[in-house]
Amino acid sequence: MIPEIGHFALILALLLALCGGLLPMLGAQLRIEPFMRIATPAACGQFGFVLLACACLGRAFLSNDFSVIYVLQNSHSALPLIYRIAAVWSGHEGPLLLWVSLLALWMPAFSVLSRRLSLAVRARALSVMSLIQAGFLLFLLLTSDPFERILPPSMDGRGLNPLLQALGMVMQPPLLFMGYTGFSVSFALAIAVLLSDEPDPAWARTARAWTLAAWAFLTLGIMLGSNRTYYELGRGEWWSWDPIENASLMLWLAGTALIHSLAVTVKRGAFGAWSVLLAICAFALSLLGTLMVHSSVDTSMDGFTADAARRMLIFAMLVLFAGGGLLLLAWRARRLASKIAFGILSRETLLLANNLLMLMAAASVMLHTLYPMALVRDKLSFGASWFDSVFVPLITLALFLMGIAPLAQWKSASLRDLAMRLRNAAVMSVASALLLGGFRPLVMLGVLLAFWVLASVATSMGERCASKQITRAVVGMWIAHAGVGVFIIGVTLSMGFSIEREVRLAHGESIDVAEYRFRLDTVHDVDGPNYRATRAAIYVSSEGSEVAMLFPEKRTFAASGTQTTEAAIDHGVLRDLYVAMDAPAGRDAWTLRIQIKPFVQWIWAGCVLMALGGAVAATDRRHRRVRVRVRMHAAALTRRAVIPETGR
Amino acid sequence: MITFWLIAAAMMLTALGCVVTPLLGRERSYAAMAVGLIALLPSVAMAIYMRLGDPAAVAFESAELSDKGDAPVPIELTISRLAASLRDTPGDVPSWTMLARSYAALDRPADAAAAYQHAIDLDPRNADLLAEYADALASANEGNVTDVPLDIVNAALAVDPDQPKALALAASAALDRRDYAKAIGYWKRLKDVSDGAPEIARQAQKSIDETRALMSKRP
Repeated sequence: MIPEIGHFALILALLLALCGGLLPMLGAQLRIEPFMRIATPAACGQFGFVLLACACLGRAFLSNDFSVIYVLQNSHSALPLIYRIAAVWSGHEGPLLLWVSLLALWMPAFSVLSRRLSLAVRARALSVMSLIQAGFLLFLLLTSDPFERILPPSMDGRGLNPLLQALGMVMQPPLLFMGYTGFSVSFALAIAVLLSDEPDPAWARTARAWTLAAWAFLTLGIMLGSNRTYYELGRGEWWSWDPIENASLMLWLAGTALIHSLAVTVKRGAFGAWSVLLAICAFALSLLGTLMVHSSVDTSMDGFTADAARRMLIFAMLVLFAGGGLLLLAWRARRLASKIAFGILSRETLLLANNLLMLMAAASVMLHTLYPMALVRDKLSFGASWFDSVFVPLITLALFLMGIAPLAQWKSASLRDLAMRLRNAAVMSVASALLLGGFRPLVMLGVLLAFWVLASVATSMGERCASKQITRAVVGMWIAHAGVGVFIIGVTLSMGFSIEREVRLAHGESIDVAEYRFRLDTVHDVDGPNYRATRAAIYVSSEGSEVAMLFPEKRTFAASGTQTTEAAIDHGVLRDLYVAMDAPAGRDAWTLRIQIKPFVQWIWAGCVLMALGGAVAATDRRHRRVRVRVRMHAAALTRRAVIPETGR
Repeated sequence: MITFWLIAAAMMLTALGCVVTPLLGRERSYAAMAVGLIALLPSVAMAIYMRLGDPAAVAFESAELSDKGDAPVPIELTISRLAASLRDTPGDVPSWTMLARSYAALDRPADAAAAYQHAIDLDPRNADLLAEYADALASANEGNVTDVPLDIVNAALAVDPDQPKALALAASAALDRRDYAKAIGYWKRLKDVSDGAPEIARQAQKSIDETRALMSKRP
């Protein structure tokens, strides 16, 4: 009965999404307030019903209800409880249910926290989100029903893909999809503003707050995905340039551009149409990411397989929403045009240049992710070397501008003034590059850029503290930019100075790698909850004293017979010691992959800082001040009994 | 069954509350629209559920819990009850075999194979079970008698060289490998051991003739 309740809940959510998508939009156009007021309860209802459906599917997994085909295909009675939770979003249907659940979560949150917007803009934005929700619910019910039954039930499930049996899978998809779906808020606001006769001036500030929140979630999702690649694939890589990773990266780059564009729109009232265009592009990329998750990707570690019907439906939604949005923008962009002037060297220009570089970087990733998939019919994306030669120069330039833009004046900046203020940062970054770069050009460039960004943040902090011009948005920017600096240090030093050895060791033998000695003590079999593993015990020492005991494993899963590699890692602030078992190499001997990866944890620490910066900036107090202003304005209008948008 | 429909009705009322309440404002009421939604929303929801949902599953689960004495029981319900009893008494080989054959009868070879696996774990030298297990695995593998199914066929023949199903599967695997001589050998053995089953003997002879024809066409 529980799966049927879940199914029925999805149907009611679909009907509420259609009502919430059509009636408030009609109300906003015809100025019928009761129709507009349906938007919020319909959004809350959608959230409730989709959450109920999620709970029903979760219960089916927890109670091993193998009458549900999705549970049968992705779970097993021996699967540990924590992975049964991860299994909910591990197949085809579960991620889509997660997608609609998280979109449904953004809707009431937006409705409650964005009361500063006029009723009409709020109703239109919620309508757009409801229509997106309706599209995905239709897609879910017609092609990817997670509650499809088979009776009588099977005795046991087929098991979960072993690569997905990882703690990261519990949190990564929800965080990543929070980011994906979060960009629907800025898209919905952009469409609402385009449809409004008089654009609400609060829209950009509201859109920026929601975009920052979505961006922070997306950053954390990407970070966990990268972390999972590092831990689970057994190769010591933190990024594999596979299509799913690339889809998230494209969205992240476009989202970063949108945040900065909206900053200009908020502060100066300029770039309105450009921000709307970026919001549409970001949402299109979010849909494209969803499409790619469901269309590739045998090569991805997530092991999704192709399905033409589903692919076509998501593509149709992409064309409908993104194409419709672009057409609307072409028709109504003039309403958002501003006559605000700014100099050729100003913060506006620098942010615009950075926007363009971010978009070019996103376009380069898109071209070389989609081209092999669409035209060559080779699902492998281009190799990492191609990205190094195209992506890195674009990002290098963007990072250079990132160091200057926060210090440049709005309207017009002086080159001499900027040079004077940034001279210490320049000296510090060059000195750091010479000191830490090991006279290797690419490493030196990476260190130079990282310290350039960090020194620029320090300069900005010094100046702002002196003038006491500190807001949460500024603090968020410092944290996020510092995160970028920390991230670049991690990437540069871990790639530049990483040591990798593939060695054959028999019991009792040891090998020296850098200043560490790795000794293979034992290899024995152990039983896990749903797998049998061969586990090595490796004693690591340095100058005679113990550093760590590492236990890498080679696991064979009972349900599928699949083998996976579990690397053993000794973490450190300055280095990771990474050991993975490769293959047996004769009697009592194994081939081991030993890596020393300096500063690799800084990669993820940088991402956490970026996300934290986004979160802090999203809670900027200036939103509240706008709310008070809007309320006062509304009260004044009510006294005159004229509320233009609502028709009262 | 009734519980489900009561819950569904409560859910529909909640959904109606979300869209109808704002229409019944104090200043101006849109009663016609509200009535339209009250009529439309539940009927559309029900229509979609009857089309896409599985109300039979609710009926099935209700029947699983109730016992109506001598009333005829559908095979699905019998299988479900048998599976439930096997969770409590997993050492019952005949029940596992019956469950496996029932799944096979419903054309669910993967489930049949899983049930045979349990039976074989308890009785590993039963050639009949091994042959049926191999057959189920091959059916789940699009009819290919290779790798694991072939190993199990060989295991069945090692226990009982005259097991008819194992001989037929071994012949089929040999034919797939274009090892015609071996295939003919297995079918001959099958023909020899099928004294009481003229249909099997006739089928084996037909396969022998067809394979010989294939051999003669080979350059």
